[in-house]
Amino acid sequence: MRRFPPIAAALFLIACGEDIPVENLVFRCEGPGVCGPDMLCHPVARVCVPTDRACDSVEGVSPGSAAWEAAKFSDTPACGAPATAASSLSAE
Amino acid sequence: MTAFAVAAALLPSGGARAASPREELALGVAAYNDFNYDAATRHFDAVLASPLALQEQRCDALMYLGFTQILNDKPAEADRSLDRWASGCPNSTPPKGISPKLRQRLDAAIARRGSPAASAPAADAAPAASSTASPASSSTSMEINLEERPGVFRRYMGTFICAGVTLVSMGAATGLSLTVNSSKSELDNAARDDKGRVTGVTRARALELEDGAKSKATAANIMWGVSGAALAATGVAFFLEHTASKDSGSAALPVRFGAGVAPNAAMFSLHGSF
Repeated sequence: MRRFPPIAAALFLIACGEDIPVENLVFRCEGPGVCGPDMLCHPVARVCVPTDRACDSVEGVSPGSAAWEAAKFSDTPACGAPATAASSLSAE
Repeated sequence: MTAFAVAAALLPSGGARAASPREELALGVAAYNDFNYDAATRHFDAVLASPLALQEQRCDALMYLGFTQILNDKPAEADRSLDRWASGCPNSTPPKGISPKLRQRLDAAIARRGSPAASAPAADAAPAASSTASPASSSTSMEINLEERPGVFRRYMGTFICAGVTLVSMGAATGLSLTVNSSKSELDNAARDDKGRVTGVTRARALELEDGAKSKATAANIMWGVSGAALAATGVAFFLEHTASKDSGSAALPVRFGAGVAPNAAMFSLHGSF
């Protein structure tokens, strides 16, 4: 991303209406409650993921496994049986 | 550059040479237009005292001397000067665009033409015309005092108000813009790991920054718009008020303002005449 002097950047931001691209970023997380209203912290990948992907398997660690149970957070949903087999999430 | 300075620059530099009546008259009018009434009085007196002054120049000097004295709160002397003008300058015509109040004083002097108090002809007008008061005109002092020329702030109230709005809105816009930029910088500069994942701030914090930045950016845009409009209004107000105050002692404000703010809009209106 190009860098501007602070004031020039501010004016550029104002003039162009540029948004802060939060939706395009991947955030690391280390616990529950830090991912905002529509995401959860994946217990194995340790990144913020959409709520409907919180039960994705990650590199062999599936919901219900001992490793999963050990890593899950207080807000990790009850995933039941192993969910999506093919996951794009990567482990930490 | 003021009108006085322009006139002074245009006139030939004469060193120690005494200014001609024409030059004195031009300097007097320039000083009058620049609200420098003491200097204007001196120049008009010099015209009247000069044996080289033409009748037309004496008439103009007397008329402007009367205007100057009216605006300089010397009504008795103004009546005396204008009476001399009215009786000695029947072919002299006042300049266009003078204020109704000055016009009224001129008409009053013309109406008094032929009376003993107004019998001194312009050609004989002495430099001391501005230093003596006529008892006959003292009764009008209270009336003229009511036309006292307002102060700079009152004459340029619209300009000052617009300039103040400009400064305040620009300051607010700048502050908001810097705040927005600070929020953006906090996210841009947040630490990331080797896979590009943000580790310096949480997503919840990033969303807070985004929401705050959006609302502040909107407010900043409004403030920039207001400041731009106010800056333009400052120029217009100065033009209107400067034009109005040059030839009028009126305290009336020639500019009217209106302002309004709605949730998604801001309005600043300016009304005036010239």
